[in-house]
Amino acid sequence: MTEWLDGSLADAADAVARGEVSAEELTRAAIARAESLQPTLNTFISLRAEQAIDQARGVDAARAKGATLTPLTGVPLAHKDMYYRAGEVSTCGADFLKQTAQDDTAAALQRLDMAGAIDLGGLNQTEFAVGPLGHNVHHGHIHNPWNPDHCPGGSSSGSGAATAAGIVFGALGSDTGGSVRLPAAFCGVVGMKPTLGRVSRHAMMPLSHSFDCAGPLTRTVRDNARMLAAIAGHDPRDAAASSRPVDDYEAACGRTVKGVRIGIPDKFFLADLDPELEKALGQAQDVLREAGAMLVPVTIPDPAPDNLVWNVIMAAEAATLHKRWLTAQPERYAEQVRRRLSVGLYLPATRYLEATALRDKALNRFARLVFGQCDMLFGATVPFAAPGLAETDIGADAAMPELILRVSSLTRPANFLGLPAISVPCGFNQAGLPLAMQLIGQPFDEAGLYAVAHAYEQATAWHRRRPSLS
Amino acid sequence: MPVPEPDLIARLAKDWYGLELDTADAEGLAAALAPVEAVMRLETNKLGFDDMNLARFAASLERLAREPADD
Repeated sequence: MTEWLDGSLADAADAVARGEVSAEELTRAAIARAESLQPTLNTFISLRAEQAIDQARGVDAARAKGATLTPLTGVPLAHKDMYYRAGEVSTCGADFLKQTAQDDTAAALQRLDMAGAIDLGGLNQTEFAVGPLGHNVHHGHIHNPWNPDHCPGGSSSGSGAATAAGIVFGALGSDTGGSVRLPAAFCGVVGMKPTLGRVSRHAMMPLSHSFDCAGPLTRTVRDNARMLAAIAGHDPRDAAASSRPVDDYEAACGRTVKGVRIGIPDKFFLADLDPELEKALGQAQDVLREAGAMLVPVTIPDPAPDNLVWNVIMAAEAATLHKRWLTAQPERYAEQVRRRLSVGLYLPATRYLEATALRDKALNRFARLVFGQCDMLFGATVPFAAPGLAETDIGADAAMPELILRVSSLTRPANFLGLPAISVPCGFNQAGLPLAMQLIGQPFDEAGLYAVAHAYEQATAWHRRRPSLS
Repeated sequence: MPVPEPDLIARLAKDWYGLELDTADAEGLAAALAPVEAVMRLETNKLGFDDMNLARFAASLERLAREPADD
């Protein structure tokens, strides 16, 4: 059964649909692996084994009765513990919410349920989705499957680690400043941050409503496309949700990339990188060129000031949400998290409004300058491979605040601009840790990103490697 | 607008929120606000009344998806 767990989501779902394997068998195998790896990786906050098996039996029974099969039939998934499910506790990685059962179910979970997926439970994450590395003082640090001494990336840390370890076929993360793409990059899986408004955020923990996006992490591009297709679409319960039709993302996997213009930026996204990553990204460009894409040098506006404007909006919105707790029970936050959330308490309202107004100007300038020259932009997801957990823990190094800002420096621009962006594995360093590339697309062109990412993946073998875990 | 000094932040914390910040907290918050303030001063000079329409950003995403910008 373990061979199924190490395979692709699409293959497993199709096998369940054909009756080659049952949803219950897959689910039991996933639970066994989750339990055996919990002491090493600490991926789960709540593993809901009995509910998952019941759900799987329901899927098998429906299939036996000839029910119409759905794209994620019987596939075990699990999700960042900030997607609410009615009657269950979602801790959001925090101390505050360990006893609070939710009274609504997240739109994304409802859609995955409808698509036939099995939900194994809530995955560990950084506290309140703050923190790009994977530390959590309340539920324990999450560990990278490629080397448990290293960070899995955050804030969707358990989503990245559980997917890479083959515990689940995919997982939802959330991305406000890179929190899907960072764990995807550090754990060697595929992570998609869709266009703002492509996926409903209803009953998902809010951090910063201007930027929050729900997105899937999977081991292959096709799996990611299938999962996004299941959760995308309009929802009147999220005012930001777009009513645009959802493209056929899975059909985009396999589409030719001949003539697609991939912009190679003149600054920022390929600057100051670890040398091994720089080499891997150069080789990735060669692969894309050989696949038929046109690589074009592109002059881009400097995203560095925009990253600071992002910080104004995120800090103000997050502090507004957390003000009650920050002022009444500040000691219940981890020190780093409390400090990051508190910044917004001291920002003038005028600065927040100015920052939100700057965003539209920045988007139009970026679209005019960048997408006038290319169809999508190429770069690194993170400037380096996963750092060590101990060396990045609180108080470990005076340079740590700077490193934390650097970790998400290349992912925040897509959040500020609301654009879709995908992180795709593009190699390993000599220490055996994954490296990743990022593609940033035009608004609502997730299909275009999947087409190019899939073409790259098919020409390489990085996605077939698995971490060796006993 | 001046960049808030740590002692001002500590005073605001006490007056607005009833929080007693230690020196490290106040200095950390001031350090986080300083670069933000520098960029905001530069970037916000050109903003006008029309730019304050918050629905404009979502409309731009939709428009740019249908009609990718060209030079």
